[in-house]
Amino acid sequence: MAALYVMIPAALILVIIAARFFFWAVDSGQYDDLDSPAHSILFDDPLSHVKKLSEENPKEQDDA
Amino acid sequence: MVIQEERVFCCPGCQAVAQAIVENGLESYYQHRSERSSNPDELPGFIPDELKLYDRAEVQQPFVRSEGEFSSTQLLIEGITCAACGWLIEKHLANIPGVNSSQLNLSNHRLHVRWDSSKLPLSDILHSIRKIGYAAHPWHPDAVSTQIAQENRVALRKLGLAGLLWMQVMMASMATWPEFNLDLSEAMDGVLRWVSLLLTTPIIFYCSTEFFYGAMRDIRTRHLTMDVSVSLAILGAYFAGIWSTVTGQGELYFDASGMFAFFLLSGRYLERRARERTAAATAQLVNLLPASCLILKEDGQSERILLKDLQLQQQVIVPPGHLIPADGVILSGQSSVDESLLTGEYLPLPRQPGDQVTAGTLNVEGPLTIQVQALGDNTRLSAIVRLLERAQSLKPKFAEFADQVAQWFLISVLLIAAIVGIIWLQIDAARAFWVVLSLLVATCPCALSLATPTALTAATGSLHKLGLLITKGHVLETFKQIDTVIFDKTGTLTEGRLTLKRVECFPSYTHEQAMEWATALENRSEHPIARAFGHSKLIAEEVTSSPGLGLQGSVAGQLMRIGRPDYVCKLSNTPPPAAPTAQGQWLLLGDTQGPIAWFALDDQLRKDAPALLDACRAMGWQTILLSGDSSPMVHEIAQQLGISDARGSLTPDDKLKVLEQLHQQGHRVLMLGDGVNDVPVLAAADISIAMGSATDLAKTSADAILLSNRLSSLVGAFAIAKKARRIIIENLSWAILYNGLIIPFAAVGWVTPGWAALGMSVSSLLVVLNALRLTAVAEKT
Repeated sequence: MAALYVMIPAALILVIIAARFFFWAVDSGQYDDLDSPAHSILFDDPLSHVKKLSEENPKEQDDA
Repeated sequence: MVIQEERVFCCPGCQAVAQAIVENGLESYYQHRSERSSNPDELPGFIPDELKLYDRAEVQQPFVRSEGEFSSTQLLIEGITCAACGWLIEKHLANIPGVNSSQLNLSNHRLHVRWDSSKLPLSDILHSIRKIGYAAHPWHPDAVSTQIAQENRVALRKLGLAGLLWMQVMMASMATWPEFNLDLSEAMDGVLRWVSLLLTTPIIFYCSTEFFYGAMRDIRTRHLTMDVSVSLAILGAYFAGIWSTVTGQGELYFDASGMFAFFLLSGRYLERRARERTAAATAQLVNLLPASCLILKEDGQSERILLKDLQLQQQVIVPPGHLIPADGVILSGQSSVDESLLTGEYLPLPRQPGDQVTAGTLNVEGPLTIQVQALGDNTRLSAIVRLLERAQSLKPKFAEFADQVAQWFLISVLLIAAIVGIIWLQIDAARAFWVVLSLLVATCPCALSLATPTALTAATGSLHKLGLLITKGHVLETFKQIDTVIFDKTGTLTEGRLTLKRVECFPSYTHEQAMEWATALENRSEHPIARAFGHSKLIAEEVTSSPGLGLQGSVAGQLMRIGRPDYVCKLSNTPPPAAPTAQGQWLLLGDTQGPIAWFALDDQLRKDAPALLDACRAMGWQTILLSGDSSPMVHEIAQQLGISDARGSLTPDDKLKVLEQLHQQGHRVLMLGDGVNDVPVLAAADISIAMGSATDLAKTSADAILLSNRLSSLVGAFAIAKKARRIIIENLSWAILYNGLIIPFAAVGWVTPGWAALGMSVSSLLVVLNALRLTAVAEKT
């Protein structure tokens, strides 16, 4: 049980650090936009299969 | 060519946009997009020299910040339909040399750009966004939106802190509960109590303050609301906790305080987020008037200035296709003016020198020179905005359903607590306080107050998927009481633009021939009528337009005219024939030999309008059509849809009067509209829905926006609204049932903090799960 005398203050300090960190994150605007990041990771892949196709038929590209 | 296929475009505008996208290697936009993009033609007119104005330092000053070598600004982007749009804009800008970074916020449509202003003028950025089919406007943060952003952050801070601390409190205070039988030493028990007290205090005095303020306000106005009962439970548990910490005996209810705060704050935060989405973004954009205008100086030179610098009696040139910036009188030029947004008239009206024109209306055909007579607050447009303020005060107030339940509930709980307290004082005075406290904590209407927000949040989400954005909270709750629905005509029940309805050929000409020729001629014109004709392979040459009369040009080697009958027949010197019927607008096509064909143009009914009307009748609602249009179209449409009560030629004020009358008769009214002339009624109706294509002013005064513009989504939305109400009722009944069941146990003193916590969590969880059923509805439909 004596260990609790160390653990409880340690827990309190951790809570204070976590709260400060959370406040900082909120105030720096990290939670302002919760929609766009979820989508943006999906888009960073250039048209891989279309590219392959056009490499196979390079002539077709010139028509564009 | 896009993605290995030849594509056909509806108009040169779309083609240019697609070309710009493909040339920049951004083809994958077309793979990722989930909604069709808006047609660039429908976006506000593009004027390069208006964009150039934004390069001036004094114009930039309010919205551009300089950060070392870079400048940064926020732009509001119009025309965003899905997440792929955001990707496209960001990638496109990243390819432009001089742009340092760009980030688009999809929920409020604001683009944050950082660029090197020595290498790249701002107008180039605006221009390149415009080239891929979006319109960008500088965005000025106003007091309201900064306040909302600040409130959001504070709400999130409170929620996060409450969650964090509650978990710590739970650990510390649960250890002291006899249920866990930890065999703590007395000293350790004391330490844990003090630690819990320390951790709970910020929850009470920082996170939960809004409940207390709400409760105080409600008590002052002599209402017993949810806030009162929540505050009572939170504060009761807290002060009893202090007492028990100081004396070292009795049960610890600190974790109950934390749990209430966390659950209730979560409910409110979700609700806040669901409501705010795009609403705040579109509210910003009340750009009914152009940002700049072209003035004619005394020396005969023209100069582009910002609208705010325009002065009375100055002369303004309005090119065709542009909005008229101020009220005034026409000095020279002949044209027709589209006033549909203001009056609901669906056809452009001819205007000539000496006629009055109104700010915010669209000049259709020829250039006009206007002498400014009224500006800003004195224009007719502003008069409608002022009518809006009056209308807002007419909006009936609804007592929130949950608050009504809470009031009834709170009185019963307080009465029961008082009776139980008195009885226990007789039996065992020492335990009386704790029994009453456990009763208050156990009956804290946690589930009750989560019942409505969770259901509303879930339903708002499902409706959003359907294309209906709820911007004000009462829509779902008051939906049940609606018994009358008012429709606007132009742009709401109808498409709001002209389409070709009928072609009647004169003998010896075929339908196809006539169509080809007419289309070729019209393709060279900017008039809204021209859009009804579509695309032609034939090319007309030497096309000239006579505003208000028609077009002349040579097609396939033949000189032809299309337009008003007398104008067309002058070419062949024949008497003009009579139009087949009186309805709609008839155009004549003719050549030097005589007339060729009649074309009937009309504003078409939306395809899904009959289905919506059927749904309204199925609900037993009375349907009314109110239009500013003075043409017989109003009655024709009403007849087609089976609307018995249709009134035309109404001013915005008249429409408002009709609504007031309905209110006096005790009707509850839903209004569906789009134009500026509907704005006062939208603001005053019990529930109002604006079309997604509506003017921004209409959108901001409505309670919900039909983003999809499909009337059929409304039919689905009605079903969800009905179901949402049922779920709210289920949730409320369950919450009351739980609270009712636990009262006897609490009254005999069996409920310890552990049981109270368990009961509350389970009942709250059930309420949330029940509300989640509403999200399943959207996937089915």
